[in-house]
Amino acid sequence: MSTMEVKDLTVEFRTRGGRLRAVDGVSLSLEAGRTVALVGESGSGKSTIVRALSRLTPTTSGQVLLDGAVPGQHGAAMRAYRRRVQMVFQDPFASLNPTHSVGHHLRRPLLIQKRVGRGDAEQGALDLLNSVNLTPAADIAARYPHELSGGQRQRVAIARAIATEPDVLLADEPVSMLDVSIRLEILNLLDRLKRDRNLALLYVTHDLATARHFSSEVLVMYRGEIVERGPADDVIGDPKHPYTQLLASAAPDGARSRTQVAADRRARLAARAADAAENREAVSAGGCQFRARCPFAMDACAQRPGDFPAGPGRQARCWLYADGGAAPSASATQSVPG
Amino acid sequence: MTTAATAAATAATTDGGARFGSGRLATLFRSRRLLIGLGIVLFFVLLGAVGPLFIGNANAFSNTQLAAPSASHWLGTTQIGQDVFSQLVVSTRTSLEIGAAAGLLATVVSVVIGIFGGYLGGWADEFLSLISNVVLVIPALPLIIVISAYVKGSSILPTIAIIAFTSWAASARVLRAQTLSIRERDYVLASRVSGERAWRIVLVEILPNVLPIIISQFIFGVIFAILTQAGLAFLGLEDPSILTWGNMLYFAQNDQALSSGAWWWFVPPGLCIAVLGAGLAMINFGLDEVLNPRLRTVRTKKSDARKSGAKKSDARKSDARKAAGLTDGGTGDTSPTSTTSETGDTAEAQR
Amino acid sequence: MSTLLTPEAVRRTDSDVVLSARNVSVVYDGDRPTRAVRDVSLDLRRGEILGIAGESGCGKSTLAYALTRMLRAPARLDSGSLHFTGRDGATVDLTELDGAALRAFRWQRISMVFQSAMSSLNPVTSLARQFDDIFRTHLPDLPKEERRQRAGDLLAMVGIDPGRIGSFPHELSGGMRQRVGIAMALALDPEVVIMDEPTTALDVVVQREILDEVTRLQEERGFSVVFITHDLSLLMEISDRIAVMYAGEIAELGPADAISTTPAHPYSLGLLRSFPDVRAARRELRGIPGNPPDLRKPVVGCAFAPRCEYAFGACERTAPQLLTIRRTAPATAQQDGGGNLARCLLHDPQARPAGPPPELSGTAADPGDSADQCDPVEDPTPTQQPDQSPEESR
Repeated sequence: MSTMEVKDLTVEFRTRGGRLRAVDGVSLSLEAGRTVALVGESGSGKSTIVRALSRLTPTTSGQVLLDGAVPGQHGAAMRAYRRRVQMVFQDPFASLNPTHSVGHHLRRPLLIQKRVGRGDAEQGALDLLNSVNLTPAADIAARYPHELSGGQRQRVAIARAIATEPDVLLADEPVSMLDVSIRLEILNLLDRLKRDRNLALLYVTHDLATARHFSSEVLVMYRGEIVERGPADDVIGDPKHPYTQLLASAAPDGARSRTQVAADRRARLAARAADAAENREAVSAGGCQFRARCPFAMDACAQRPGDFPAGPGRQARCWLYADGGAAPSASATQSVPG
Repeated sequence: MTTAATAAATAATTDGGARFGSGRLATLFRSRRLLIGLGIVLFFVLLGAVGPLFIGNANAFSNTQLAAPSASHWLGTTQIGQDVFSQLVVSTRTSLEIGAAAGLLATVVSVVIGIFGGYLGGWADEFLSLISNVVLVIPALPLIIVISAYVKGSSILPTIAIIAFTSWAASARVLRAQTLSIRERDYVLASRVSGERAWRIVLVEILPNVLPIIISQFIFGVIFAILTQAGLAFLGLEDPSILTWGNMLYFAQNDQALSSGAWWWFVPPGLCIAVLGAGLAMINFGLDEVLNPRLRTVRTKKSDARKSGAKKSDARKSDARKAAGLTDGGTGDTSPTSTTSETGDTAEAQR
Repeated sequence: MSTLLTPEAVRRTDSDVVLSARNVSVVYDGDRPTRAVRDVSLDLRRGEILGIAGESGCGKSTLAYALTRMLRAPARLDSGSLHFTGRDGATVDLTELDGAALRAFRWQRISMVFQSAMSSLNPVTSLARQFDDIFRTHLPDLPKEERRQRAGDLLAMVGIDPGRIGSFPHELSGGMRQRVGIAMALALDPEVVIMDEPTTALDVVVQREILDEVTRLQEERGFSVVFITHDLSLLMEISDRIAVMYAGEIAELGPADAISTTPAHPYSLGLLRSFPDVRAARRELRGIPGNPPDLRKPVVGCAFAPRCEYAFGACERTAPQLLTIRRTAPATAQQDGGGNLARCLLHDPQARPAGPPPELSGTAADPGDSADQCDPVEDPTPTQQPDQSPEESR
């Protein structure tokens, strides 16, 4: 049984212009000891999902199950949920309170959840710092957030998240605001903690490369929906949904030669020449959300597609796979649609 | 975005030059403005606390009327022969008491209404906001005059209450706005995810971050109270038997001190009000400098050192205009104040 | 507008230098002055795209602001010279310019695209008005209709419908605002455009579009570009030459192909390794442990030594100079004359007669091998732990 199962989650916000559906019918499951990557760009709704799963944002409809049961919303049930589901925030400079020491940040969850005494909490904080390789622990515990670097702060944030010994860890773009050279270290740390503590890890990111390397399953989000899902290597190496193909081709790739890059670019520019930039941002009413940008758009796309199988263990929300037929596979020279 | 913070944080050291933690005292003394302001206020506090112990009866009459300053009367005498210096010293205590008490009361009320309204949101916030806005809009002076006309008695409590009532609302709005902003910050959200209760979040997570503003609002409140009290007294709305700077001015005005050239009667109390007000304001600006490193004046080798002023986003705008040759590179640029949050982008500002 | 230069005429084989910086040092004044840029020299050639890569605190943005004379207190140019050679051949000493001359110089000869167009566009005036400001300031004799026309042309040039000239910045998306920023930077047909992390705040798809536009425009109009970013993989695709900066100095400089296939400085190698490949096979992933040095303290020896897995005795004592290195791959590296420099004692025959280890020697053994050929080394610092390879293998 999955540790966490999300069924048909929908989150709507009321805005001046009406209702904004940030998350639309999303289903996913997280298993202990495995990482699921949620890939998408800003506005895709991935951060909203994390907020909803950590119960910071109310959900409009859908179910979230822990070990098969729906946890209560108040009192002891809520506290139990908070113990089992923890979160690492994106911004290491904002997720720590500047007026409190590192030790305080780590003691609080211990005191709230485990009902330990003061002395035990002190030691617990030091143990947590050791487990995220922030040493000497006593020295770091006395410091304040502004005295730490971005990478160190993020380690503190991770330590805080595992303080309650959670079962599920939601990492919302945990490294996108860090220096490049320390990103991999932090991701390696998360990976090791996941294995050591058998966590179900949800890794939310916009970076395909790290999503591929650190997760076993990748879910691709576009405008609130999951448009493709499957094993990491498959989804990224051989993307089926046109949006995933677009993402994969847009990422800078050091392996390509410069002449190849230039050739790709000319093809893309030619394809785009006819269209002004803002057409690509048109919001389609009903039907497939990606239609305005899709090179394979058909009449059928005026209807919202369902999830169709697109290979072993894979699904794509695209009419191209409706009959199990294979779409033209993406090659690097695929022109980015206009 | 987080450029300044990134640069500061990657050069992580344990030396204090920081808002909280060790070394705070050392940085407090770095600001000249703060030191001067503290010195002024301290002087008046001492004068008000200790001075009256050495003064006899400040209201004693004498036969030397409207005498200029001399050895026996350091600041001369009033129309009825009272020693102005004695009166000034005794007034200091009362004026300070009223100012501090009214400022404190207004601040406490504004903290409760502003922060809780801001954090609770929903109907509670709407309701408290409504109250704040209504009180804010009521014209203060006519209200004070009306209330004062009805309230009799010789204690200073009514004065304190009235001044506090008319000054808490502006501060409450400021605190509410700040609380609304802090409420959405990641560390507050992290506390919620950790299971922290609401009251603890307000007291432990939010309040320390609002503290600098609360202190600043308190100081402004004291300034406002002192000035208002002086104004009220000058208009004759205060109990004349209590000695305050404002009352001294009232009597001086009544007894035509200005036209008879008795400057020693009205200049000292007016000067005290002005200097104390300036001192308090300097404390405010000095604290700002200490708490916000970006406002610090850097003493460079050049004599025309400029403040490295506003938020980074403002700096970028004026950079752009400067780069476009639209403003003179040598002078400071005026850029529209921006509320762009530093951590607004998902991307990292790497330098 | 001045005559368009054909791509051939300005290709990088032409070693005509348009911007020359020599021994530039920038200091941030304060109680403990920070030496943000330390003795940096580089040449920008006409028509080339020079990428400057580095992370927080390396000084790349400070350098950019120094090049355009836009440092604001407490930063100041402590030493060094800046020379600009225009199309007309005349050389201008940038440090001598002031006041009106500097204003005229800015934007017409050198312009800048900032990281966040959200901040560099005035939110309360329309785009038309902002373009108008530029034209009125620098080309005061231009009649109003022509100003409008040119503004519209500029928008079309970056792929925006000219009809949107009347829009306000908040009505545009992030990507479109950045395009406007680029259009404004090119409004007066400058010879050098400095781009400070122009795509960092944008999604990868929009980033790709912006980069395509920039390279297209650069090919068409022939201006030189200084492209500053932390994303080395991006630079490898679009730049001609790359300068890798660390702790206020240039750690390595060379043709983009060369740096990506045969990095000579351990930091460049570490940086390259920090970008996992989207498509290639899985490999062991590691970054660079530790933090950049505190530039308020004087740096003794090599600034990168504490984090370097190849550091040896001399590295802590001797500050390495920029040494010329020989690269045998790619073949064009040496012909480029682009300067193959690395600030590393591994390439100093006196300090290390045996020469650098194979992965830093400037020789690519086999294609696709270079990044994987890491000798396993013990972790030098106690804060490190050897992490196992990530997510289960297939």
